[in-house]
Amino acid sequence: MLELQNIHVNYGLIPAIRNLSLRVEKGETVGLIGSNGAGKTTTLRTISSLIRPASGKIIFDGVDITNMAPHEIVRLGMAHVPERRGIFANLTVYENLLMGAFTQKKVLPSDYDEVFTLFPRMAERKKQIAGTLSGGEQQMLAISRALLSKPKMILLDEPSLGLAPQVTKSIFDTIQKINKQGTTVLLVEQNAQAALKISSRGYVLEVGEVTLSDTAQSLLSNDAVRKAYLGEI
Amino acid sequence: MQNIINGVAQGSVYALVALGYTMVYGVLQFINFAHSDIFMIGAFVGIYAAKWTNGYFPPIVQVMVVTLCAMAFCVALALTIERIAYRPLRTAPRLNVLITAIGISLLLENGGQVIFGADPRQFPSLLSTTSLLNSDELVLNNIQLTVILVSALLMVILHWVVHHTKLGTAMRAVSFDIEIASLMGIPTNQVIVFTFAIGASLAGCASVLYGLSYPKIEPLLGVMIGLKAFVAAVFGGIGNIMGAAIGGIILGLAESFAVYYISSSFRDAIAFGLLILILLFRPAGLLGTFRREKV
Repeated sequence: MLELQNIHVNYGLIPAIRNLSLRVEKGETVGLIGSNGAGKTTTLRTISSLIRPASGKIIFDGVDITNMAPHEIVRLGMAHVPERRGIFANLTVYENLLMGAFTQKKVLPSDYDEVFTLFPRMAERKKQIAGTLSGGEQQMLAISRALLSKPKMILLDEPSLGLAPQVTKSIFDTIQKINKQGTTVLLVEQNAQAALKISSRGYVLEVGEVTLSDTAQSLLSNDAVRKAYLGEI
Repeated sequence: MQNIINGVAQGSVYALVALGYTMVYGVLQFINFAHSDIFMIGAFVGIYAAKWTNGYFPPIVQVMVVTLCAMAFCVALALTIERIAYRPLRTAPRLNVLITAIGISLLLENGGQVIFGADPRQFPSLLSTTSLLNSDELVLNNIQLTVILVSALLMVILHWVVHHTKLGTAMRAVSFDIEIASLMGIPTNQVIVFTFAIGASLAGCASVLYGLSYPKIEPLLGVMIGLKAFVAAVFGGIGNIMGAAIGGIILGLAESFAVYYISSSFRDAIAFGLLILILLFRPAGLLGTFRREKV
C-alpha cells in the first residue's frame, strides 16, 4: 500500500532522515517508534509532501506521490492526523468535520453517523467551537475529521500526546477498530508499548535511520527495545 | 445626525477596501500594499467604462455595468499580481513578500501616472444627485444612500459566503493553518486566489462608489484611502472580517465628527491618532485575538 524507498530529507545542510525505507502492506497497522528528534514526524510530513525529500521515492497505492502536492495525495486516499492534532480551533466541530470531507463531492448523513458511532462525544459537541474541546476530544475530532475523507490509509502522529492513560487507551482501541474496518494505519508514537500492542509490525527510528524492523511481537520482547523505549532497566 | 450619515458613507468605502487587506492578511499573514492601488485602477477603469457605455443604458443600469467592469478588471489585475509576484514567494520569508508588495504598489502608482497622466480626472456623474431628505438639520442624497446600501449588501453577502459555504469555511481553515488545510485535501492555492479575487472585487466596487461621491480621480488616489483602510483593518483587528467592517465605519464616523467639531485639517490626524491609540491599548485590535506563537 505504501512504500518508501531510500528517502533522504535535509533541513538546510543538516540531514534529518538518512536512507529510510519502509513498507506498509494493505490492511496492516505499522508502528514507527523512536525517541524525540529521531525523525518520526519528519517521515510522516515527507509522506504527505509537506516536506520534499532530497532523494528517494514514495509509492502509495501504486502511484508515485513523491512530487505531488499535499492536497492531491489526500485525494488518492491518504489521511494524515498531524502532531498536536491540528484541529481548526476557530471553526466548530461540525465545520472541522466538513473540512475533513472536503475531497468528497457529497457528504451523506450516514458518513457522519459512522464517525459518531466511533466517537459519540463528537455528536454531542457538533456546534461547539473546536478550540474549547478537551485534549482527548480534540484528538477524537482530528481522527474523525481524517476518516471523513474516506481514506484507504491513515497516518497518525503521536495520538497519545498529552493525554491521560485512560483516554489514550480508548483512542488506541478505536484505532484498532478503524484498522479492522479495513483502513491501513501507519502509527508514529513515543509510547512504544501502546503502539506495538496494536501493530502487526514495527520500525525503530534512531537519529534519522531505521535501526530495527521486525514484527511487533518480537520488538516487544527485544532487549534493546525494552531498555530504550519500554522503560525497563 | 448629519455627521453620522457622512461618516457612515465615507466609512463604508474604507470598510470595503479594509476587507481586502484583512482577508489577504488572514490567509497569508502579509499586508498587500498593492491593494489600495488596485482600488485606484478600479476608479480609472470606471471612468473609461462610463465613457464607452454612455448613451447605451439607462443611468442605473449604466452604473451597474460600470461597477461590474471595474470589479472584473480589479480581479484580473489582482490575480495576475498574485500569480507572478506573490506566489513564487510563498515559501520565502514574509518580509520578502512585503517588500514585493510595496514594489508592486509603487509600480502601479507611477505606472498609473505614465498611463493616465498625473493630473486629476473627473469621474463622470452617472447618477444625478437628488436630495432624498433636505431639512435644516439633515441632508441625505441618493448617492450617499447608494453607497451605504451597496456596501451593506456586499458585507452581508461576504459574511454569508465566509460563514455558510464550503469554500468560505475552507478560507477560514486556510487562514487558521495553511499546512493543515492542505492535509484536508483543500487546494490552498485556489483558496488564496479566491481570497484575492473577493478582496479585489470589493475594492473595484468601492472605487466606483468613491468616484460617484468624490469625482476627483488621480493615480495617487490609493495612497491615502489605502492608509485609512489599513488603519481601519488594524483598528478592527487585522485578519478579522467583521473587525474590518466595523473599523471602517468607526473611522469614517470619527473623521466626520472631527471635521465638524474640531477642524477639517485634523481629519487625517484623527485617523492616525486612532491607530496609535489602538496599538497602545489593544494591539490586537478591537475584535482581534492574540494567537499564541507556535513552538
